Amino acid sequence: MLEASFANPAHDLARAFRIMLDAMARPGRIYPFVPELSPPPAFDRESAAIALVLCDFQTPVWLGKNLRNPEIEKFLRFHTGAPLTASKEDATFAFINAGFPLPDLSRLLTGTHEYPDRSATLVITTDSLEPSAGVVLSGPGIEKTQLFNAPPLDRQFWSTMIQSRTGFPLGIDVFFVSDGALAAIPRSTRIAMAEAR
Amino acid sequence: MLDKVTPRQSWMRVLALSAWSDLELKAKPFLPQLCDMIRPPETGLVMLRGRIGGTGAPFNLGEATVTRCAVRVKNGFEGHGYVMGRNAAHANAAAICDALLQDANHQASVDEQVIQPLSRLLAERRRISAAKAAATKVDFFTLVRGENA
Repeated sequence: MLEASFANPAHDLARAFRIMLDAMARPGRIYPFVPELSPPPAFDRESAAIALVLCDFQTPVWLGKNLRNPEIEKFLRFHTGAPLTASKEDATFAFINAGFPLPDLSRLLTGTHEYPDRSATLVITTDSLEPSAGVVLSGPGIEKTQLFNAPPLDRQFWSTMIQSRTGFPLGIDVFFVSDGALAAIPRSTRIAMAEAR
Repeated sequence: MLDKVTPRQSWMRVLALSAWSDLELKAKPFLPQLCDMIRPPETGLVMLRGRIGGTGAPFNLGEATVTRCAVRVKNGFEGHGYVMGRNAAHANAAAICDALLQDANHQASVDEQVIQPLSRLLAERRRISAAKAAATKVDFFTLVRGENA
């Protein structure tokens, strides 16, 4: 069965885009994000909304293993026209669910020095987004520091993220979503592990 | 590739090319369907491409306004409508008819009451315009030319 997109595409997409833009501008800040959408089962509406807003025929999409099913693929193909790719190296958008073993994220596109924008944007579905100690964020868009945690993402994930900072201006930008919430960490944000107490 | 036209292609062609006034009249009994909008009617531009000249290289002929719509009728069949112009009701009706034509329970009646009369109308229109064009035909012939004499 093919699910519908937004009922009011022009307005709903613009509203969602605005929230995503704000989230990227204020890394780690948690925004309420409740898209009125009923995507296929197993695809959360927040990730689906990001896909509908950002993906088109020029942006190959890579789906995590647990999101690869005919319903979701049909939904994305029909509403966005985006080609679905099986290899991470070709994708400009990658969608994964943190509740499942994470794939190797180091193979996602990070851009080139001539074109750092030719990189991938990662969308991770988590259980919840919290402004609490997991990692400490700082950098552009953050006045002093911003605490951020997104269980079940663990220290191993964050250390991969910290490592990926070394290649700046190359790197990936990440959206984090949970039920009704959105946050983002662009490649410009510095990440440090919060001290264990 | 082009030699095999599926039944669905031919009914979608009839639904798209028919005048809205004709389609509305014929499809009226079928339109008040309970259907979900998968994609509400939306209007956009489609680049028309053509081929000309000896090389046959494609070129962009120009843009056409197209309205499209996708619906699901209550038996779960998905219908799609693509029509030239900005008539949302036409695209919607075409999508509903397309969905019903895929449903074995409705296919015969929609085909009989909508598609067949409309395709007869289309054929008649085509015949009339072909006849009008044929009336203006000029036959050129060559008189005996020098080199043949």
